[in-house]
Amino acid sequence: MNGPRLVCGGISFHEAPVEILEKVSFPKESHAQILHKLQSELDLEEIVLLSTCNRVEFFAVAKSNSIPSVQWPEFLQRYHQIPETISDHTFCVEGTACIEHLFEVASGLQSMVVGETEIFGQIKEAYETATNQKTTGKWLHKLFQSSFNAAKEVRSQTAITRGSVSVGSVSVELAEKIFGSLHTRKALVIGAGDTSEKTARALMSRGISSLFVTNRTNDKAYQLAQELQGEAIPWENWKKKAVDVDILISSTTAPDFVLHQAEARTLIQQRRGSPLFLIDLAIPRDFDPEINKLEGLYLYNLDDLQKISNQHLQDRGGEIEKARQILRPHVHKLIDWISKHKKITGFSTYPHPHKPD
Amino acid sequence: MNDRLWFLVAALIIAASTLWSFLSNQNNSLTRRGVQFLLALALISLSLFLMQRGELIRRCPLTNGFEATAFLTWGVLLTYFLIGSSYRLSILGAFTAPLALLLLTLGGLFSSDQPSNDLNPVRWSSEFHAAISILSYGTLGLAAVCSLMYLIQEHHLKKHTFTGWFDRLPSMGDLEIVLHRLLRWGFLLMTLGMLSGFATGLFDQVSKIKLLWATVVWSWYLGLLLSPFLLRLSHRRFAWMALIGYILVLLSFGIMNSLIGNHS
Repeated sequence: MNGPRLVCGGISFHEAPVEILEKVSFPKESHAQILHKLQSELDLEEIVLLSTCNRVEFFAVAKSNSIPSVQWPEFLQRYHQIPETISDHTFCVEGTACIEHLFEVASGLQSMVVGETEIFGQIKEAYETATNQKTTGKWLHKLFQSSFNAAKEVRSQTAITRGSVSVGSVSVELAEKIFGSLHTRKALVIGAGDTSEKTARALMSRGISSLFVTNRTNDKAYQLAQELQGEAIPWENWKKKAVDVDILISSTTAPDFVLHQAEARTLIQQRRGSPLFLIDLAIPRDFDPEINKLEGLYLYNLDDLQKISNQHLQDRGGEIEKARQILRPHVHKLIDWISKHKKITGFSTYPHPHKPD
Repeated sequence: MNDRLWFLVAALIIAASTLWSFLSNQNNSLTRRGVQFLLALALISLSLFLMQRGELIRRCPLTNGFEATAFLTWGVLLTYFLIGSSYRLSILGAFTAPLALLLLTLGGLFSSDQPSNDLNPVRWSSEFHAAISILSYGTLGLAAVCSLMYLIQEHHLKKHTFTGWFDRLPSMGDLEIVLHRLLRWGFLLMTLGMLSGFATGLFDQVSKIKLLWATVVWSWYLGLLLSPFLLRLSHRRFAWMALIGYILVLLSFGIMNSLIGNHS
């Protein structure tokens, strides 16, 4: 290689176990300092550092004498004081492969949950930090702007981001299918379990108007209600309260059902036919499955929610090839632009570092 | 251009929009806008048919089953565009198109089109009565489309099945809002149509069966609109009743066509 080269390297959940990933990640507040360290120690002209819980990667323009494939794992080992060799878990690619890799990461194709959009924001933030630290220049500006455009097109032209993939978000999606906007809806959480708390938080993020919490131990109910900015209801009163709410989330450790079909029938009659969404997150189940046979009641248990989530993941996986087809012209366009400017080299065909599982 | 050609053009455009909406991704804004654009073109074509036919026969084009079906389809499409963009749910066009296609096909296949050569002057009140009644049928037709969409969505939510084309349906809550709005407007128009029918002064000439049937249909919709206050009716049953109501409307429309001679 004669001139500077476009390179990227990293370590991600594809190559490394979680024990190593935990050791190599950089806290957000240290990114500015790390950028300058990397720039000098790896002989880089420009650099952007991306550090999330699933990947630590850099995108750079390397000087002609730089050997990032060797220097990068050494830097990680030295900085984090890791005794064992980690070079087997890292990757480093150049030129076209580097462009393809960033475009795929930004589009969510390389994420653990394919199609998740959080990575797009994380890349934007990483790019902004580098720009503020003046470690980016003409080449990385162009690379990252192109990756944002490509990722946006993938998101709008494919179903890669469609369908929720966690129990909480699937529940929210179902609630919105039943009620439309959740702004006037009320929810009652029965039992102060972790999953029900997450689901309640997901519903609150979509603007439900009121949240009530009940638990056999009143203290726990008050504690969770306080955390969620809701209202605690004494255990003996929750069935009365259920008449006024639209969503019931249950995750108690009760050995028997906390709501039987006969009680649910009375409940729906008192609601004058207004729909009620029941989310049963407990094992063993809290709501009698026969309840789903009643009109106006929509019952989903953990297994149902998991199945929907898996289906969505499968659907997203099916969109990967379509997404790659969309990215291809963006990659070619950027290579053409780089070739016209004839400064950085190394745009032969490189093998792709890895494909999603 | 011959007026019947405009009818044919409208039918072909609606067939194309039906195909497009069922074969493509409804979440794609291009499909939604494309279907809307085609339905707008179909509305224009039908308007041209009705205008030319009106000029030819010198009266409101409701003198035979063919014209009445075209007018009804026009009413359905007009309502689709009049309900406003916030209520024009993303997928409503995909359901409106097949209803419009069905109506035009039935009109084209089963109603003979003999343009009226009756030169006697027609009372404006009679024409107003006929036009407003058919517009109400159009609005209630769209309400029936919403009911059908609601029932499909409800079925899928109950059975936990979310794959395929129907996964794109709007929420039950949104469909209910649109359904109630359309039912209110449809009922208001139907009431206006009935009142204007009494005002024509031709009350004695109308078939008693037709009159009775119209009263049954009107009472059905009145009961439906009052049911949330009077009955513990599930929302699913409400949707079923709105759908059955429209079957009554179509039967009423059929009766009107068969009695068109003594009704015009």
